[in-house]
This record gives sequence, C-alpha cells and structure tokens, in this order.
Amino acid sequence: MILSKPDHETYKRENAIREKTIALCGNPNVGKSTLFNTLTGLRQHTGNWPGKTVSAAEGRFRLAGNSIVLIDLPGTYSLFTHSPEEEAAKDYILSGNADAIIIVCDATALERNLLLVFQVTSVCHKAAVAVNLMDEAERKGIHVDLDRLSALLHVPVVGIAGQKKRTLTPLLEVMKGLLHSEEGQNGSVHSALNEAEMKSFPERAHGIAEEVISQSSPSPDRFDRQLDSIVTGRRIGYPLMAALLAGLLWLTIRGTNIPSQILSEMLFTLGDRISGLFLAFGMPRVIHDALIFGVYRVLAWVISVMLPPMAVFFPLFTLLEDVGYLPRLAFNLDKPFQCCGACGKQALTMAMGLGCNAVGVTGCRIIDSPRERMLAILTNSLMPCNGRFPILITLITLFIAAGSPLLAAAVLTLIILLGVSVTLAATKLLSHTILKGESSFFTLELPPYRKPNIGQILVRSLFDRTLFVLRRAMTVAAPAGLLLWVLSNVGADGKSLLALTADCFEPLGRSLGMDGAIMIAFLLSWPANETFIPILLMVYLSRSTLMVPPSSGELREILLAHGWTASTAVSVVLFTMMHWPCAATVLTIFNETGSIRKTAEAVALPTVCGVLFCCVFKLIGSLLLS
Amino acid sequence: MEGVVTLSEMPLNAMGRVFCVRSDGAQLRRLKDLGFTPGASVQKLMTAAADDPSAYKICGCVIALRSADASGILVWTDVGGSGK
Repeated sequence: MILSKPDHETYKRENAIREKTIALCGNPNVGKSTLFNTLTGLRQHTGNWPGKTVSAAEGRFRLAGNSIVLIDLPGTYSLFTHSPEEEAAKDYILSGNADAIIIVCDATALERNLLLVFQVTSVCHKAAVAVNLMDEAERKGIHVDLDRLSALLHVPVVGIAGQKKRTLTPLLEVMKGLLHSEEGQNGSVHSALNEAEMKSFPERAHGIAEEVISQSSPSPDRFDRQLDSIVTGRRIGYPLMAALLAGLLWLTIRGTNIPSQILSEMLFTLGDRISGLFLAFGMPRVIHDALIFGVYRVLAWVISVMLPPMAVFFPLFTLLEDVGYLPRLAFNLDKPFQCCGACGKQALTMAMGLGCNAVGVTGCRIIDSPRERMLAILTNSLMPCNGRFPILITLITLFIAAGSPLLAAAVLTLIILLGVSVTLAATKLLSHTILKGESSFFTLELPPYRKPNIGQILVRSLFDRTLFVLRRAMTVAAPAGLLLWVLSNVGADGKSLLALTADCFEPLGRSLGMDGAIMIAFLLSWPANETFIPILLMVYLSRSTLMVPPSSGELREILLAHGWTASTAVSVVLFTMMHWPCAATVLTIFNETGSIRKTAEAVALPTVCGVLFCCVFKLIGSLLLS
Repeated sequence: MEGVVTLSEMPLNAMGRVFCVRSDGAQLRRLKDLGFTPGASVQKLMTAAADDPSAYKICGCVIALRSADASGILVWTDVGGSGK
C-alpha cells in the first residue's frame, strides 16, 4: 500500500505521536520470551518446552531514544491455526497493529521455522528474521550463512543469542530500519497466499536449509540423542522420573530446615523488639495483642516456613525446565494418560501445579483438546502446591519419619506419587462420566537440550520467590492473622468464637480421623494454604501467650497435648493432599473455564477424594486395632 | 529393499521419505505444519515404554506422535539411506 504524498505527511505526523509496536512471532520454543525479557527487562517466566507462552505479553524498551512497545506472541507453527493461542498470534499478525514483525527462528532447527517465515513475509512487508540460539548452534558445530539466507528470503536476517544483550545490536539496527521504512504492510492471508504457493514451501525450505546450513561435526545431535536414550529409555525412564522427584523433594527438605530455623529466630527477636516498642509507646494492650499475636505471628510463620522451600524448589524446577527435560516427561507419561482418556501434556500441568496450582491451571492451555484441557484443570489441585509443602514436610518429619531427611523425602515422594495415581484414576473416571470422549490427536515437540544459565536462574528465582512470598504474606496472611485473633478473643460463655466454631465441626472432623480444630483450620486457610498450621495453633492455643513459630519439639508437644496421634497426622496429610483448591486457584479456574458449574466440579472433586481416603484410612485403622 | 510402510511400522533409527499423509482437516494441517509433507525426510529416533508414543526427526526438529496417529503416515523406507 503506497500512500500518496498528502496522506503520507499525515501518516508520518500521526505515527510520530503514537508509540511504535514491534511483535515477536515464531515457532514455539525458539526463545521469543527470553529475547523479550532481555529487551524489556521484564521477567516473563520462560522455559525450554514448546507452548510455554500461553498469552501475549507486552513490554517496552528504548530504541534510538524512542520508547517502543514490544509484544511477545505465543508460538505458532503456521498462520493456518490450530489452537486458540495460535489463533491469537495469527490475528495479531494480520491485524496490522504491529509496525514491524520479527520472526524468531532456532538456529539449531532452522528448516521447519522457515515455513512460518515464508507465510509471514508473504503477508507482511515490514518483517525481519532473527536467527536465535546462535550460541547453541556454535556449540553443536552448526553454522548458518546469514547473508545467503537474507538474499534467499529477501528480508533482513540477523543472528542473535536471545539472553545475551550484546548480541542484540544488529537486531536493534534492523528494527530501526524497519520502523523507518516507508512501505505499508499487511493483507489477508488468503489474498497473498494460494495453495500452489504453499505447497512449494516445504521444498523451498529444504532447499534453502541445505544451502545455508553447514555442520562441522557429523552428528550435532549426538549428545541430545544419548541423553534421550537415558531419559526416555524403557527401563531407565520411569525410575529416573521417580528419582528426580525424590531428589527434588530431598533437596527441598534438606535445604529448608536450617534456613527456616534461622528465619524464625530472626523474626522472633524482631517480634520481641516490636512488641517492646509498641508497649513503650503506650499502645493500648488490645491493639498491641491484635498486631503482635494476630498479624505478626501469622506473618512470621508464613515467611519462615514458606520462603525456604520455595527458594529451593523453584530454582531447581526452573533448572529442569530450562534444560528441556519437561517435554520428555510428557513423552514418557503419554501412554498412561492416554489410557485414562487424556494426554501426556497433563503431566506438565501437574508439574507446574507442584509449584502453584493457579499457575498449573493457566498452564493447561498447552493442551489443545478442550475436553482434555478440562480434565487437567479439574484434577490439578490433586498435586500439592508449594503452599502445602510446609504442612506435609512438617507433619512427616514430626510424626512419620522423625529425624531422617532421607526417609522424609522418601515418604513425601510416595505421597506425591499417590497424588499422581489419584489424578490418573480421577481422570479416567471423569473420562467415563462427565467428560466423556476419546483421546484426541496428539503431537509433542521435543526441543534440543539447552545449557541452562545456572547463576542467572538461581538469582532470578530466589529474588522472584522472595518477593512473591513477602507480597502474599502481607496481602493474605496478615489480614487472616488479624481476623483470627479477633475470632479467638471474642466470644461468649468463656469460649471464643473460634473455639465454638471448632466445636461445631468436631463431629465431622472425628469422622474423618481428625478433629474440629483441624477442620476449621482447613476451611480458614482457603485464601492461602500455607496459613494452615498457624491457624491450627491459634485454635488450639486461643488466648495464649506470645509464641512465634515454635520449634519442632514444641510443636509436637502441642499437637500431642490436643490428642494427636500418628494416625491423625496421616489423616491430615491425606486431606492436605486432597481438598478444595485455594482461593487463587478457584478464581483462576473460573477465569479459564468461564463456568460456575465447572468451577464447582473442580472444588468438589479433590474434596470428595479427600473425604473418601480419610474415611477408608479410618476404617482400616479401626479394623486393625479391633 | 525399499518399500512403503506406515510411520509406526518403521524400525528404530531407520530413515525414510514421507510418501503420503492419510489424514484430513485439522490433523492434516497440523502434520503439514510440523513438516510431514510428501518427500520430506524422516527418521525414527526413539520409542517410549509400552511402544507409545515414538519420536521422529522431521524438518530438523524432533516430533513425538502416537502410533495410532503415526499409522496414518506412509513412508518410503530407504535401507542404508543417507541424507539429513
């Protein structure tokens, strides 16, 4: 579209005011999000598996003194789309909203990427190609002739390594060039492309790939294949998965003991000081108590108990993600899930759920089939999130595997494997009842293993998680603590409201092998699972003296004094694993499904499982004892 | 000996060329987007436990397909063949 002179002046004037927009598109898993992060400084969560980005992200960066909007589109294999996310990417590309489009390609897997390059450059005249992961290609002895590629494609081509800012200079130059160029852009796919032309794309791609790619080593994928033979091997694959899980959990347990103690001591001393300060300033006793015993106690607990496990688990998990292990997990587990009417990608969403169930539910977008996506959403809460880890770890180390982190890790691994089994069973049941259907068409891309930037991951993860825990503690735990303190200090007939409510739930609690206090602790920790133990303690010790996170010995004493036995601990562990999703997750489920009915089902499913397991366990216990 | 077999019947590590893709609609579209077009070079790399799914090298990338879906793709196997 060539503008006539008068229009052109208006166009230039208008555009000078409006912020320019550049969109990043490309096949899944080529490093668009990493590039986006490097340019904008935002911290979008990245990982080495296809489909990681499920919605477009927007950020800004400076180019030649101007602020430019950068859009990171979800990966798409072609403009003739398949899933809603790819549809969104396609719509954006064709909308004309982007002033320039950068098609990001993987230097180690260029041929297939070219198919999308052909499509986009046919309809968009302000496009350029950024061949990413050039450092990985170099490591493998793969060389790409960028100049020749540019000549063959008739668009600018640059080579970059997305996470290294210094390699981006040529890309920035190309972007400047595109934004200042005078040509118009875009048209509809159907007007620009015809079937005959599209049919020639694969052959053209192959031809171009042969011309521009050269390998200095005969088999650049040798390392990947060797690693895959171990990771997906028939005999080693499954044990390796269990071992990795156990290892992850053991490191989490081992790595949290001492930091938790240090944190809680620090916060205890700080709490004393604050308390003294408040009293010195003549603060009314009631307000002092509410703030110190209510707000501060819960805050201190949550931080000292939740931060260390998260600070260990998340970096380790991110490391696995970045290396590219997760798609292999989906590959190994596809068959069992297929037998239950779902697909291997559900395993990925479950792995995400181990970190946070809300994130796991959003991640279900990687599953193409709506029915299988729903299966994954409804069962995600059966995987215990990081908020529930402290509960599980505490109870296991106090009652089941006292003193041995190795045994505790083994028990926790078994418990999570139980969660996996229940998920499979629930998925199968749903597939035969309310979500009837056959397994759908399934494809999974296994990307090349990539060398993770360990230092960067550790620092970024630690920082992210600390911020997250603190923010959550302020916004959820603190108010909850205040509310609880009020409930435990207001009452009638010498009993607080909290204690009265606990009494109401006593029969229900007992029938499940627990008690009333535990039941309302579960109910009241709905906003944040990690507040369960502080709430429980508050119920048990209403109107007590100041007591910031007790040592494990003290905690054990308190629980025993209130009638706990090892079997109570087991019941609580079972119910922790299987009960209604937390508030954030419920909200996310509603957002993703748009259906109150589905959200209700998602709340009911794990709860019913939990009730069932607790009842059966209680039954077995009473049978064994009699 | 050369012959036409389904992708799922291909022996491990064997190389071949795609003969035709017996699918339609969205499934065909997706397979084409991933590189499964007539004439494309394909190699069977590995198989998960229980023989399902299998991973194939196509168009420079590794794609996993279930055997039910892979049986819809016919390949011209190339005994001792070379190529990328």
